[in-house]
Amino acid sequence: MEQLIIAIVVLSSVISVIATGFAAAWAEKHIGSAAVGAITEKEELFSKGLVLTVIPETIVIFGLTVSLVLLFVVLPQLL
Amino acid sequence: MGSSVSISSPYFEETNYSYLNTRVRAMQSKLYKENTYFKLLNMEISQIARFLGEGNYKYEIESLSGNYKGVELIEYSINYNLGNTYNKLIKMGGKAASKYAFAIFSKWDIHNIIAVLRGKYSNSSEYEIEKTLIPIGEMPFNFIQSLVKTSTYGEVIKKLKKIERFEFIDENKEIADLESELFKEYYKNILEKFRNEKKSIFIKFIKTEIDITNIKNILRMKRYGFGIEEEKKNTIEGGLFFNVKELSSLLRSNEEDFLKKVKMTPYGSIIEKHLHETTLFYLEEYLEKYLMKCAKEYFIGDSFNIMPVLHYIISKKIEVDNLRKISRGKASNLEKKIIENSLVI
Amino acid sequence: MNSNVRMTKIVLVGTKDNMKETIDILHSLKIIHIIDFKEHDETFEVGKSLGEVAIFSELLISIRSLLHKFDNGLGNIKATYTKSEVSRNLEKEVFETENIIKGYSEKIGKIDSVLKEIENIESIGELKGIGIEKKIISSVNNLISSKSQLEAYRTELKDQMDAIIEQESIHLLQYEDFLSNEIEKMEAPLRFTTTKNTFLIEGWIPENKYQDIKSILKKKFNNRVTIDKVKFSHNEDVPIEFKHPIPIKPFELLLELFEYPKTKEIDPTFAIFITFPLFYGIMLGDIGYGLTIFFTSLFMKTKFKTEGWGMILGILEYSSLYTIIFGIIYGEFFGFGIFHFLGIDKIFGLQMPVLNRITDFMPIMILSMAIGIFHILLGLSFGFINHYRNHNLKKAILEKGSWIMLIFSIIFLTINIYMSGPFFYIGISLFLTSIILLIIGEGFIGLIHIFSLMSNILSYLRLMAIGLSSVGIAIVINSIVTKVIFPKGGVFILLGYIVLIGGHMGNILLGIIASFLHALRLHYVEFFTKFYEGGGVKYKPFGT
Repeated sequence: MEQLIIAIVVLSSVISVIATGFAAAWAEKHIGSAAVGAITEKEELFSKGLVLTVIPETIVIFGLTVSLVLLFVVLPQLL
Repeated sequence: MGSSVSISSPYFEETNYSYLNTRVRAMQSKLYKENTYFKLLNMEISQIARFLGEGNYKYEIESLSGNYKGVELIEYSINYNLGNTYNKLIKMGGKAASKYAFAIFSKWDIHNIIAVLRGKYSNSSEYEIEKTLIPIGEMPFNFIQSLVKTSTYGEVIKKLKKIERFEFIDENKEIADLESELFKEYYKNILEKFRNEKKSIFIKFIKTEIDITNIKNILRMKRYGFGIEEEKKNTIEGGLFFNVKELSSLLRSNEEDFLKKVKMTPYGSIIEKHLHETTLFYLEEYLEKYLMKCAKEYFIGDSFNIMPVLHYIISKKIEVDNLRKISRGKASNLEKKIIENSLVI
Repeated sequence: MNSNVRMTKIVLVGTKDNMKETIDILHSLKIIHIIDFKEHDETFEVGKSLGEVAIFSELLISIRSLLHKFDNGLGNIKATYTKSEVSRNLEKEVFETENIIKGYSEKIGKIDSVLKEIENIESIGELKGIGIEKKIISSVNNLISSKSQLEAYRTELKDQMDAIIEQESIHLLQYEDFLSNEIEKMEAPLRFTTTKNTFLIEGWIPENKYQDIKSILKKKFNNRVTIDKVKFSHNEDVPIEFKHPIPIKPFELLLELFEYPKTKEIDPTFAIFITFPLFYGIMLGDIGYGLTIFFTSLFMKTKFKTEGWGMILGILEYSSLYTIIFGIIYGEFFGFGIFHFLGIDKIFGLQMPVLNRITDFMPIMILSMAIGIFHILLGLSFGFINHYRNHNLKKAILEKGSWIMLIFSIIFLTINIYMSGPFFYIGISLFLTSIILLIIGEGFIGLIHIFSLMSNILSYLRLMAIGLSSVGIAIVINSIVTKVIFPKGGVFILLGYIVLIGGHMGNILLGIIASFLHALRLHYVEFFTKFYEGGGVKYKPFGT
């Protein structure tokens, strides 16, 4: 039983990082190509483009936090 | 410089709209604003050339100014810049974008061919002809240039006839007739190519364009007389408001009826305002202006389609046309007010 | 809090015959920020350029085209010509050079086309055996063999041409500078309003310079050119010139990258000066990395002396100091536990390291959220003040005050879990009031924004997460080297050092960029959205 719980929690934390990673990557792909498009024509948009590109990284940060909480907060309580 | 991209030659990737449209919007934001034209109107020719060379036309002005001066420098620069810009659009546009872009650009093929034909017909020098060419279009520009180098009018036609699209060209016809046939062919071609998207905004634009061309011809015929032959030649099927049949009845109706029918369309007010002027020049000019304005309005769309690109294509054409009007007007000492009125702002 | 130079709007009116002199004076004073004339009608219109602008423009086009042909970046050389000197020699010299270069280009062009034809002939292939006379074949072959000579001659010509342009380039650059300057003056009237006999300049000047310019004009023109203050509303785009103390100056860059503040808005530069390096330090937090960045930016400051670089490097210096401080708190030196390594357990009775980023991530997480809440509250209070200044108290309370109350209510409700006291009642009543105010202020849509507020606060978790990933990479590099490569001995020691240095260099680079971007993002997205409108104009006086 204990092993099952560990397995499920670890799996959940893995999924939360992987899924949010993919999500952030997908969003960044689009924003990034848009930013590159704008920067090619107007160099002064470089900084704005860069900042806009990292915006979806929040998603994966949430994922990382969830997985950390699962591993180090939730898991010890379940055991 | 100004080499043209042929639709069959390069490998076209899938269109990446997020890249394409932000880039095009950035390009759009670099176009000259209304205020700039008022400044330009107060400048001398060489000043205008310098001003253009400090902005979007830097490359063209700097590389051409060794060979040309004054108005010629401006004309060449803006033509080449238009060509370069459009070719850039095609290269970055990918599959979906280039389909529409080529459809619009192939009009310049017709423009260039007619320029060559007219030049050859009137025995102008190669240099004179080249000045009027714009390096855009579906055909490779090298081909057009080779046409310029061809010695006689007849030879040019022979060369053209080898192309499937232009098989119908007849050497014995008058050049004006050839012109209208070429344009007819162009519109037929486009409507054929896009017959699956009858409702699309792009087709709406093309149809508006057909309407405007038709109305211009009708007004001319009404004023200067016509025969069945002319009528057939000068009306194009596929307009937005008038088909050929309605055009024919328009042509034969008296002024009152004509105005009544025309007034049901958006062109009505323009026609009514200028119908009684001595020349048709302004009326045609304003119809043209209306077409450009309406194209700009049509092509305002959201980010994930081709609309921003079409919007840019039209806006860029307007800009180049405006600059040409200003520089030509300045060169022939036209009054400021007259130039200003002819600008599309 | 407002650290901008006070501007005043002026109108300068004069008769047209004094326009040229006025422009010269304004150009040398470099204090008036001209507002371009926009609308025009029958009586008022844009002015016309002055003087020999057509010739000057033509010259400038020629010069630029020559420089365009030879482009190896000769840098900025300042023109030290007086006008009379220049106009005597310049025209002749430029057109002479242009003609020489044109001659060369034509020669090269002709050789090019000959070469092209030769290549065409070459591609035809063997001519033997098709019944051509031997003499003709040999002359054709002669032609082909002259290819290399022609090519050599072409390069020679090109080199000569480049040499001429290079020799002239300093002059040309000086002329370019001079002409651009002159043309700016000549074209200035294109920005003025003119009538038949008079001209009018609208613009902004710093308030304390007003008396100076007034007396200068009075002395010069008596009353033929006059300057007057005019009333302006604060909705107008008053140009902004900061007057920050030197330490804060670099952080203006972060505003410039975003948008300039409007006139009556709070200038957040000082707040950024405090929080930006702090966030950066929390995220990167490593003594070794901090020292590296500090000394690298000190070194780079001596190499890159432009204003922009100075600002970026300045920001990095501050940030690296915080990085070192947090490195001490975390006890990290290039990812190694430094206190453990040195055998130090306690300093001043404090357990060292104060926080271990790997094991104590929960406290750091809570700290991040707390910082986030504080930062957003700061932003909201700025927003409150902005609204109060630009609109009224009611709007400020409804749109910003309600959010502040909401956050406080959540704080009280959280405290309630851990402590006894009246916190619950305070919290719940604040909560209800804020919700009501919110609905009055922004409608029911406002309730949805509660979620974006939540995600804003959670977003500060990146302070923990970015750091965690950075230290994670550092630890992986260290353990690969010390546990896998070093034990093998011999050549592997050297390899180990290479991996160590390379790995940490990569990680520092990543750390600099990631921490910078995320700190920036927290300011732009989470902080600025609470109060900042932007869209102000930078003060750019005529003549600079």
